[in-house]
Amino acid sequence: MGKKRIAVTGIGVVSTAGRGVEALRRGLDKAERVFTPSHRHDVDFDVTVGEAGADCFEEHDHHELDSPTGRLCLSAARECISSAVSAGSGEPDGLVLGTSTGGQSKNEEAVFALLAGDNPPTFNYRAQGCMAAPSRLVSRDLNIIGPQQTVSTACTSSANAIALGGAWITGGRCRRVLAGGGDALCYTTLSSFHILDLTGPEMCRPFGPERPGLTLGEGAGFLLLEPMDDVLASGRRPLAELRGFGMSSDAHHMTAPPEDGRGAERAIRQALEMAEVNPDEVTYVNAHGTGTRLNDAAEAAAINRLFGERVPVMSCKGLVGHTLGGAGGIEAVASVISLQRQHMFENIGEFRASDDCPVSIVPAGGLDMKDRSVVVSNSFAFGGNNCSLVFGALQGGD
Amino acid sequence: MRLHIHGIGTLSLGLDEPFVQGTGSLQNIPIGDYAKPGLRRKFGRLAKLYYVAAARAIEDARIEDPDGFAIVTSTALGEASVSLNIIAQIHESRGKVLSPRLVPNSVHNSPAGHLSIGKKNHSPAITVSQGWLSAEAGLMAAEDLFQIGMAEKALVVFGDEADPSWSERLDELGATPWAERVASEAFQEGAVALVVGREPGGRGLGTVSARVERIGSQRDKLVSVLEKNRIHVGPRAEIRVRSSAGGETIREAISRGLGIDRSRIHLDGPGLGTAQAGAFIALQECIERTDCEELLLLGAEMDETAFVHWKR
Repeated sequence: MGKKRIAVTGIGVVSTAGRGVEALRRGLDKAERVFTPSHRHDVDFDVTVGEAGADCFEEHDHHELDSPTGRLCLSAARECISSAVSAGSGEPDGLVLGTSTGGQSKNEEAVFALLAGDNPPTFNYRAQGCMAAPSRLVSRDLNIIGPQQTVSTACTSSANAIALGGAWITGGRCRRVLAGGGDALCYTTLSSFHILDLTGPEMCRPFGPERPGLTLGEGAGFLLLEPMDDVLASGRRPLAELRGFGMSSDAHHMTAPPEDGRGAERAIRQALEMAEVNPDEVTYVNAHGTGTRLNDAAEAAAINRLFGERVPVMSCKGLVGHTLGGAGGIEAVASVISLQRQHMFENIGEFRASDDCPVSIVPAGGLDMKDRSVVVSNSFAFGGNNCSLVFGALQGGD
Repeated sequence: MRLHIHGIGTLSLGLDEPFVQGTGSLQNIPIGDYAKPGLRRKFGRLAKLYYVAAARAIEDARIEDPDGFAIVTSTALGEASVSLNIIAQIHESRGKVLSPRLVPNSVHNSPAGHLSIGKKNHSPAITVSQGWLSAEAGLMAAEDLFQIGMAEKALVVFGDEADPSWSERLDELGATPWAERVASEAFQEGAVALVVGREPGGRGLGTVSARVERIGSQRDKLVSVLEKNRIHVGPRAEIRVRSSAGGETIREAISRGLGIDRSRIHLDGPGLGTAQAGAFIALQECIERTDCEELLLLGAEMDETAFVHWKR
């Protein structure tokens, strides 16, 4: 990357664990799962989900741009910016937001009304229904004047958004990029995963011998990224460093990874190369770990080839569920929290790896880490899309 | 960073078949010429459009290495008819989708996934969606991939779909009449694909020889963005503007701001589908003419402005 280093100077998050970074940290520490049947969506099948609380859907004055995903993103983005600005950063001058559903909840409302023969609610597709609706809400609310980009690569959306945000810093497009993303639950998501038989009434158990499927969640996570030189020169202390990122395509199948996880491996290798980190320097892997049979086995195969069983593996999805386009952002925030606390959180929901998942799972209570820790955070998606991010603790000389 | 165009491929009303007033839809998508049955039966409508345009661009750029380019797709609407079908099925069956085959095509990156599978491409694939400014967003993403060394070349595909069966159904349901939308949005279904590279394409490669001088976007008024980004053009530049508002006022302001004759500023309407990319098709025409040396594309939606500045 020409070694223009990228500092993480702010974090913000909302999820079923609650509103804010502290709620996520507490949830990861205590490992208390709050999955429930779906309350907001009236569906004719059994499904357990991780709904975000009402306080996670931020209130705002931009009613013409309103959508549930936008509100979740705004909540996390406001926390990210307020914490960073209060620590000395300036306002962001660019936004990269990843989302899989964007304003789909609003589209559903409008089409349901049309199909029922009712007058559709006041609805503007450009402002509320399209994929860019959340980024427009966030950029206007936070008065981000510079470039904005909406990434929509399904479950890698916010991980890819963070990677592109990093590119904006290293390439000089911006000096303070708000990057991340989110997704709110909607009928399309619930029903689609149900018909694919990927969800059910039981809670997910990432990498476990009995994997009942994934648990859908909702939420958002954002980072503020700045050039490391700027941050250090101003006497500020970054939260962590975004050291590298890798992207690849499986070129295999639209919804299933290759069994050997070679696409995932390619993305992780690329990220490590950019980070100039050897596999044996990696402290732990914050896995995509959805809890599905195929995905976990493929990811485990990739991790095993790269790291053997030396590197502990955990997945946040046992706590927050699979938040689709928000997953990469939330897991990036969790990675930064763990680097700050020098503690890797347990693999909530499962402590015994399946025979087809040859990895070492972070045990109950988690594990402490040393200085110079390095975390790999994985995200994989429909379409065979893979993205890995590498975060590092600040080094002694910083 | 400059992007160099190595090849271009299109599937568009006006080029592939005549524009029929009121529909904005293509009658025929020649996917059978480019994808085998086992592959193409999994495609949504947008993926078919993208696949045809992409195959034509790859052929134009004479790319042989299947992993020799990253994939960037950009769309405002995504697989709109798939999405509408899913919502309709959920409505009709109390929360259930009845066709699992719809699901993989419901995500915005499904055309990119089909492209990577069909072309056996393992490189990075990014899908962006910035409303009516998605074409510019796609080129910006390609530039970003080059910037971080993730790719030397990128296949950038943009456009949108309009399934006639859905436009008719929406009309029946009492939504804003489709023909009205087509007219007000300057909508034309289709796709444009560009193969772009960090370096020039080399002698004899591609039918287009041009470079992108600058790409960017800003949440600001159009003329203000030109000033703040210090965009200058020569007297032989052509400027194409996609905006739903402003009309002659915008033409006058741009003319004053850039010091260029009003006759060289074309107002294209807001533009979606290949209408959004119509100006990119115009690039070919511009290059073939001796009185056009550069092309500045400006797009404005809500209070955002995006620009792409091309030179020979």
